[in-house]
Amino acid sequence: MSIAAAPIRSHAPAKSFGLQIFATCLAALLLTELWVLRERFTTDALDLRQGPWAAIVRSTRYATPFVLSCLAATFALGGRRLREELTGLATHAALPRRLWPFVLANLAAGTAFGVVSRALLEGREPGPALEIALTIAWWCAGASIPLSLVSSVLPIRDLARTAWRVRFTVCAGIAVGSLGFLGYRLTESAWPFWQPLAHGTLLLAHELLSVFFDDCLLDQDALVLGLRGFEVVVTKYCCGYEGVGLFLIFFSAFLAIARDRLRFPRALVLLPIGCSVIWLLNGVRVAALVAIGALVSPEMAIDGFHVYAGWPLVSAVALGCVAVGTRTPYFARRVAETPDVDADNPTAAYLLPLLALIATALVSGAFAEDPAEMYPLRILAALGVLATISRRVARMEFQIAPSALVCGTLAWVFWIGLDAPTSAPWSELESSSSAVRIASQWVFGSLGSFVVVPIVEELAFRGYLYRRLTSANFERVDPRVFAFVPCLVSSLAFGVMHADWLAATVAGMVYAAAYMRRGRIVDAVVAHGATNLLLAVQHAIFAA
Amino acid sequence: MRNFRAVRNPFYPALQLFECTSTHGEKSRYGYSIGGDLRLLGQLADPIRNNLGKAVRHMIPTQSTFAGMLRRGVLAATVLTLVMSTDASAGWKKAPKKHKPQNKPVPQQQLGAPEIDPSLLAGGALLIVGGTLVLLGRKRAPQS
Repeated sequence: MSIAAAPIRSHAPAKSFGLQIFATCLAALLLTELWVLRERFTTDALDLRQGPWAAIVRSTRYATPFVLSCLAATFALGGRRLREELTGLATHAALPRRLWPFVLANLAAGTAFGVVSRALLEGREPGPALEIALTIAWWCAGASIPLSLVSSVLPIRDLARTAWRVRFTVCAGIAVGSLGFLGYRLTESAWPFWQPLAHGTLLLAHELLSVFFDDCLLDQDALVLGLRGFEVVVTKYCCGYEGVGLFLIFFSAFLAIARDRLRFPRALVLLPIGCSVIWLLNGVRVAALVAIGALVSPEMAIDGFHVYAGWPLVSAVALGCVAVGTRTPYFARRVAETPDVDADNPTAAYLLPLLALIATALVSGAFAEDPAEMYPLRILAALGVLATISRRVARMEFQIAPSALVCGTLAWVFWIGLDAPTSAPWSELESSSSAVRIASQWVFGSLGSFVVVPIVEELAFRGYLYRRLTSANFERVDPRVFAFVPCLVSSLAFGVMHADWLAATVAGMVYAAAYMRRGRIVDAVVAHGATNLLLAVQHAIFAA
Repeated sequence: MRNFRAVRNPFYPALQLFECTSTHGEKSRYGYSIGGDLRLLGQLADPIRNNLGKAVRHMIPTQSTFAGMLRRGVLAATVLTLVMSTDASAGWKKAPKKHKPQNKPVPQQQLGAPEIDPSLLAGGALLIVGGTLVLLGRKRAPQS
């Protein structure tokens, strides 16, 4: 699998190494400020206050999903144009001649935001006029914090010009994103149209159960379904619209992104088909849940199946529709050939181990009272897929570089500095655990935490995503060339996979640095494994 | 009072389940028969044996292996326990009506929004997006 062509350095115009490092430091500073503010202030006090201004400040709790919704809609509507504009904007970036004005501006903005937050969130209830003034000042100070940092490398004038050029795309994205977010909030609170879906789900589940059992209980008024002493009330969260909504969002984005590959309007047929299949499968899920609760274990039904079974079903339908859309002549313009793992489809080789790990966790978790008991299965699944790409893994040259160990230790220091939770593979063992359980937990826990998980995560996030964000032909990207946006985005994606996203994002950036130093993915794997080992040792010492 | 209906027993197909409804409609119950050994029926109380008369045609032949003997022993013990726990001579007991809550209140589980770990949500989203990327992954052009 030799690469004849020259390696790709980057899609973006070449930037100095100093500028990239400076931008990374700014991002780290912004994340730190965000963490400090998040730890210091809470909007709980506003729950007791009435009025529109308190509601506006209170709504910042939903800032993250709102911003994500708007960003996703904006990039879905005008991704290519936005990318060109942002690439053009990046050419204007430069190191500041004088840094201190921006540092002072950032400090001033942070201090102002802290003072106003304290007055607004922790002081006495202000009068109406003062409340309006404080709310406006709060928003302005909050926006000034990132703006003061961004303006140090990008002239405000260029930012404003670019924003003006893409105003229609951004406004449309914000409108669509706001609608999506409002829809989500309405379904969360008082959307009344879930009841027909719930009745249908209930009837479907009852009919399915009646095929196998004669003593199935159904109360349509109370939305109760039961079997042999195990009864459930189907609420709005369980009537299928969440899965249908997720599928609609995902598949609409897929139709927009892969429009060059699909035949329209035929491909649009897949949208209602997928929604219907998901809703029908939700009825099967509820029936299976009741059967498991009645015949096997109520705990397994509620704590396992109820929590875990939804994602595999939605994923299976979504991926099935993607496969049908891209691989059948009726829907696809060019029928893609079946990828051969490790031979022809490098994306599969880098991503499948992690996908196998996640899929096994979701499926096995649905059939366990304690999902942690199924941990060995996840590791075995990941090992099985790693075996299929063994040739690629064998080329990783497993040699431990001191710099990788230093990076692993550094990530551990950041982790405990950010007060993120620690755990050890054997931390969930109880004194009453059986010898088999203890041995299994030690063997598979250690193997998974120190070896398998670092390999599969680093292959996916650094080996694939970091380079894929630079070029579609990612295997030809030289990882030793630092790229700010891919580093930040791949680290953020790695972060949201963990319980404490901020600490994991910072750790991801450190692993990216380890990868970039020599351009060998094994360095990131060693650094990741070292961090996990240190966290486990630390946890064991403090637990003892 | 001779309306029998065989019901599939999901736990143990050999232990067949029968639903018996009287001609008057007011009495019904589940009858149990023993898969594999007709002789055991002779040891049971008369009302059960008589009422199962129609249904025993479907029974499987006697097994002679050790596993079969063991299974028959377990089945016999189960059936005898069932029979002894009911007053067979008093006729059929009234079975609980279908689709009606029983006297003993059953705790109901609310299928509300499950408390999902955010990392699980991210994992599910990654599964869909990653799976799509794999499906869209192009074959590399052969290198010359």
